[in-house]
Amino acid sequence: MTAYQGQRSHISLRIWGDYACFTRPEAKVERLSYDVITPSAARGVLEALYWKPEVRWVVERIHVYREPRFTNLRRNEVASKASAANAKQAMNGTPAGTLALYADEDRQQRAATILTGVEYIIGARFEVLDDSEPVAKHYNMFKRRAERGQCFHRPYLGTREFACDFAWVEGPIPASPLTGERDLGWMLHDLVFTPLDKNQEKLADTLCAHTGRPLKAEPRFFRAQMHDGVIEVPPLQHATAESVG
Amino acid sequence: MILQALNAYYERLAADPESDVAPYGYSRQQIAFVVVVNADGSLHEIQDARVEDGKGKLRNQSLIVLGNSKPTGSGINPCFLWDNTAYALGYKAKDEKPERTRKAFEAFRKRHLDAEAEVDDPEFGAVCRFLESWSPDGAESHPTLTDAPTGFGVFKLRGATHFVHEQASVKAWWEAMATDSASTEEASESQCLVTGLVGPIARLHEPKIKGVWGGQPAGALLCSVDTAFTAATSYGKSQGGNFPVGETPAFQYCTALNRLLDRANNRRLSVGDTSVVFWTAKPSPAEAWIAELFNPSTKAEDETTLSKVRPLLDAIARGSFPPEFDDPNSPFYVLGLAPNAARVSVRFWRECTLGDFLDKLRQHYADLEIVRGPNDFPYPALWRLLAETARESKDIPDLLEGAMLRAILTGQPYPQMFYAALLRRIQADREVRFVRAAAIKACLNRNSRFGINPLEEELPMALDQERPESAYQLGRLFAELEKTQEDALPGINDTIKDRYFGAASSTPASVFPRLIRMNQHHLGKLERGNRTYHERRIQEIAGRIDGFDSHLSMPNQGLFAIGYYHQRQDIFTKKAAAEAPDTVEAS
Repeated sequence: MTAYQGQRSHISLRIWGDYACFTRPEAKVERLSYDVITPSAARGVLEALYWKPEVRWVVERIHVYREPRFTNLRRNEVASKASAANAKQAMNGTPAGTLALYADEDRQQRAATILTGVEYIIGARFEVLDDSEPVAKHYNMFKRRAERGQCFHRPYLGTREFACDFAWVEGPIPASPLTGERDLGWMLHDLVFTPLDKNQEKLADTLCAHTGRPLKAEPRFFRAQMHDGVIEVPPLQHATAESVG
Repeated sequence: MILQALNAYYERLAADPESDVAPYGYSRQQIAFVVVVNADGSLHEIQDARVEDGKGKLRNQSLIVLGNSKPTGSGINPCFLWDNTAYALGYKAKDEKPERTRKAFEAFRKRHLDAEAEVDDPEFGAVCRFLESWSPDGAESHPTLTDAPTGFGVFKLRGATHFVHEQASVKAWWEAMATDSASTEEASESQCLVTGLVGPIARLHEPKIKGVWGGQPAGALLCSVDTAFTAATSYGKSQGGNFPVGETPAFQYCTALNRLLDRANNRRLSVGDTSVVFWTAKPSPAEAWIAELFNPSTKAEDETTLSKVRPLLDAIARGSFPPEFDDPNSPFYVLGLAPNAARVSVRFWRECTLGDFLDKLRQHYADLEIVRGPNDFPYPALWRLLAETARESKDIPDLLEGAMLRAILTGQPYPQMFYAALLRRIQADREVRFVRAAAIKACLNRNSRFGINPLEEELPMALDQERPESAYQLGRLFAELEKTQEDALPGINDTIKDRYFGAASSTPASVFPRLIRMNQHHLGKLERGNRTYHERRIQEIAGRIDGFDSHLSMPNQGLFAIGYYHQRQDIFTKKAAAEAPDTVEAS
């Protein structure tokens, strides 16, 4: 995939915030958070700071600095999503239906069990799809942006309401006050998108944004084990390796 | 981890032959009646299957039957060898839609007759003959049906010791059919988030969760995405596809949760509208006691339970782990559920060890410890604490229960909302009862421990004359002023407490000067010895007060209430110890 031998692509980013909600898929409606940030949420934070089509973020390690603490909250959430089909038709010049979503007409009150006071360091690296550019360029660009507090959009902790602060971490990563082993159970790693053939279109969950090809979207889960506050994240391709077959 | 812990609980139950948990493809249902048929298919009788519970009330029997919970919806969905009176017998008491009832019975009959050849069992055949010959019009002559219209019915042959659905060949056929339909159904495969294994995933999680207080009687789902709530769906997936759980784990966690919620198993307690269940990963005798430890019942009829719980509570309060509870390192789970129409939502979830749980419980009861009257039970139940925050139980905010439970189980400060509500109630009805004083003291001490409005030292259980906070001393003074008035004007309707407690505890400067003037007047009415006694006590307290604050903050209002309560208790215990004030004065 890449040729970035000898070049640094490993970064550490400290992130923290007052609230966080890394919703468990089985508790999506009355939200209940995972105990710690999930790899895909961490990827979302990194992408908020720096995203390029040539760069793929790979979260390798999550360092947890505070004991997970929960609180309850009730929030108004909208019940539906804005229609993508309508948006598409409007872009084609043949508007068919409403594009807007009126939050005050379409809201429902939902309970949420969320985290309070979280702090993590994300250990990640990036893979470069197009190796015509030096890896150091991406590395330095990310570093500069993180140090200055620049972001493409405000990074958040699970849901948009819970904004996240971030800081560049240089040098060794401080030890976590959490000690011992803890099994956090099966946790969402990320979604895997598999391209389908044209004749399998019926099975498709979504379409590729660039090519319009049908894709199958499958969630992958990994057994999150925290050792002295550190969770090692396995490569996504291997997330189910031990259980399949 | 909730589903994983529940799944593990099911596996623990399944491994225990005595637990009698429903296997995959079966479920427990509330059975109210039994249709007993003769071998030729004629009806023998319709029995009442209900049993008396401990309180002499008739309750439906819980039996394992074929299939999951009763399908919901307006369609006609007959169950197999069990159903309600409308399906099984074509009769419904106070029927508003006789047309539908008739159709339901016909569907039920058809389903059974269609299966007859495949099942090939003489007992099942008898049921089929019965269904063929049964006329719903005759149902009204059976008092069992008119008396017990709610609940389901099952079938039995006259003289048999088992029900027809328990017949081995019926079960064998049922299981073969269940696996057949599972493999032909186009179930999508995915990685299960409970076990991590790849396999067919459940679209709906069956059986439904029943027994959540206030939830729908037909049961609700813990994990679901209703089709109208499209914002919760991802990548065009529908229902269970959004949260892949294998079919077996889905059945297992639902069954395990139903079992925990079943009242008969004593693993649940209700706190407001939250139903709380708890269990340990390994079997422990502690499970049977948790509900009582948390919510000790104080009713006289529960005297025997209380006599067993009290020593346990005393031991825990002293900080020791009751040895009969087995392993303190056994993982312990608490799950609080709240109803929300067709769904149950998780209000609270905690995993810890049994030892840790008891330690937090000890801390909770230690914080609540305060001097009390002889009839006050020292370990107030959680619902008692919450009841002190509102005039009626329906006024207690829903979220408070989960927040309190969390505070107790994690050792964190009690919710500020709880403290504020307590003060408001005290202001409103001018009553500082044992439970209220205990709760206020617990809030202040716990807050202080976490650095919120720190006190110079922890509030003690009983009167501390030396306490530096002037709010505390003002509370004491108020109690003494009230006592003087009570002694001077016995039997008075409106004491200064009734009129001035609220103002005195929030804006002392506005009322205390007037109270002192009134006190002079009250003292004048007393006999000499008594007057000196009261004067001395008041002076002792007044000497510790620099002046009257114009306004007391929320934490100080709590201190005022505690000072008042402590002093008041002190007056009465002194009195009991030394009979009359005269003798005190003489010594």
